[in-house]
Amino acid sequence: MKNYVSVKNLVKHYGDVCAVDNLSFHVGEGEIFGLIGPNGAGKSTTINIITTLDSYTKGTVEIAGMNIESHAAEIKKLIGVVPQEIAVYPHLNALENVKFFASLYGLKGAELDRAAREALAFVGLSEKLKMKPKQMSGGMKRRLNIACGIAHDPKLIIMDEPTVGVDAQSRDHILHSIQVLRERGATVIYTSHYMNEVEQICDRIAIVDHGQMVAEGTCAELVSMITEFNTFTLKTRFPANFDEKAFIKEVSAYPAIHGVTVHEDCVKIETALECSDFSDILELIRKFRLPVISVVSEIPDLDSVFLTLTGHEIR
Amino acid sequence: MFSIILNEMRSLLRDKVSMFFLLLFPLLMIYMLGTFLQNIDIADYEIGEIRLGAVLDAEDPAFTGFLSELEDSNDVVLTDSSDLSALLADVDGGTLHAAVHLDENGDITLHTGTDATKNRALRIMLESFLYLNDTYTACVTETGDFTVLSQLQPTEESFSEAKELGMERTMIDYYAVAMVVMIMFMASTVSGASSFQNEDSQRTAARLVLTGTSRVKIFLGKVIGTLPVIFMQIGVVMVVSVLFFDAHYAANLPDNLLLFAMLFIGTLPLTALGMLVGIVSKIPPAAIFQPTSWALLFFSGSFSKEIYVEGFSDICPPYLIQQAAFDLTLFSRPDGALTVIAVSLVCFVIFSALGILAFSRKELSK
Repeated sequence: MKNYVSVKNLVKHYGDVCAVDNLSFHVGEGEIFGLIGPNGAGKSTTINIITTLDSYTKGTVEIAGMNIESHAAEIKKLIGVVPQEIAVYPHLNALENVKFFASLYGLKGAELDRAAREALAFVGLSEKLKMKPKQMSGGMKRRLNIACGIAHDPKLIIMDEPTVGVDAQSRDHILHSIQVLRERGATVIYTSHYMNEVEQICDRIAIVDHGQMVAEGTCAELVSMITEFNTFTLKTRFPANFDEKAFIKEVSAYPAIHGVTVHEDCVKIETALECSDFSDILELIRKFRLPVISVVSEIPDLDSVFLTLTGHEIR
Repeated sequence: MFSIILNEMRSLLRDKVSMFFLLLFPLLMIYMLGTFLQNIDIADYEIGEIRLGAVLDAEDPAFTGFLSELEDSNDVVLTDSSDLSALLADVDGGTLHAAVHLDENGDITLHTGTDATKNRALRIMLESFLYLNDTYTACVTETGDFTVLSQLQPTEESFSEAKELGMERTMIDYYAVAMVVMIMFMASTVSGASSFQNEDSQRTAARLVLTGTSRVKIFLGKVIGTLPVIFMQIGVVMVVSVLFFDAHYAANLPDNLLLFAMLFIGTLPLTALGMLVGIVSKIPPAAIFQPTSWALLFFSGSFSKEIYVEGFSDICPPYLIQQAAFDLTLFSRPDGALTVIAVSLVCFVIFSALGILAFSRKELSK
């Protein structure tokens, strides 16, 4: 996959504070790339630099093969930004807002009108063209915010927490829309504090903290960085004649199982991350006549990866 | 840039608060001031008939002629008598409003009644006569020519021409100019500053810059976008004050156009200054510009023509603009207006350059 965004050894200082510290990553063309990190990790600064809104101290940033310092004007035309805050004009209705921002990218006349209407239809606001932002719900405003950022058909879309404060329906619509944008050929950089969203839509994810890259890869790759196993805890009642040693020996013989421990009324089984079929194990448990009171699965997700890599302390 | 200009105009025209302060408020002020001043004029003119008694114990052709003129005016009903006591009794009783007595020494005494308005009118007329009489006596004594004063005596028209007044003036004419100057200083600065502060609060400033539109274009687009509203604002105030309150500006169209141009161009630097402040400050613009403008306008005599502080008022920009306007409207002298236009353009370039510099250096966040 060809790189569309390439960030190399990026450094940004605000006085004595180092907001971005030698950060490097790339985003492939047509990829949805998640950029996550705790508050103050340097995400927004990195995004501001990529969008040419902010300068940087050292390093290089290239978009579509062009350096952002020497080709800022061309690059701005390729980018569509959906900011975290809703950035629309209260005195303009939905259609006027989208048309206004699209017109600044050079769209005119019938093409401008068509692009604006398409963008609003894409975010599910085609029935609300004349509605002003103050009349809209939080979810509708968010979707209008997105429409303003994509009407000019950008090749790179940068979305900064686009689902903050919206209901489940709008959130679902927004996430689906992002995937459709990717299918249409756009490259997306997506930041969010909602790990399940990032896990759901991003092809690759970068975790940054203290301005540095902590981890980068697909969700499975990130999970494998913090653990090699899925863990199942099975609550049961052991019969009086239960042969613990024989049980452990037989269960451990399965190739996907890495370890079995028995403790009070629980059996803890660790399996390989890729193991997804537990029917044989359950069959074995039945063979030993163990009743299954409950099963708790501890499959590591992005949340646990994030907390493991960036710590639990409140920032 | 056209989109930015259009958007700026829309934001002003669609915002009810802005429209109130930009258009309705000045019209309301004009209405209140116009009505107030018209009522003052009516109070001054509606003196009514004065019944005056006169006792002449000496011969004074000038005074006799003055009384005769009063009687001919139909505003004064004169009662001649030789009995001062009887006349004074009539004054006390209300039959007469006042009595005037020329004694043997040629001294004139006015005995007034209870009607303050008529008393004041009589006093003014009598004092005017006495001043004129003293002037005449002094001229005759100096030149020995009894016809000297009649040669100099001006008609209202010749007096106006000599003073280059061109037309009769009322207080509304003064305040109409002062009101437009007030709008210039208050509305344009606040609307300029609000324009950029609103971009910040709406988070749209960063989005504008991200489109690739240069910050110079954004700044100038926003300045130009405010101009049609200011154009309309000054125009509406001038037209309303003329049509509804009989205000006068200049006597001819070219001077009126120059006056309008001066007032309009004068708002350019104020708008740019407002925008500069809106870029660098987060303080609400009204909190900065309202007190400053009120103070400047106060010491420039915009609220009362009586207020003038030597050495300070004459360097206040509103005072200088008002003087240029009066020079143009009263005397048809364009020099002051042309100077205001030139200085305004220079200041506009300076404030715009500073504003663009400040906006270019401003860190915007999404």
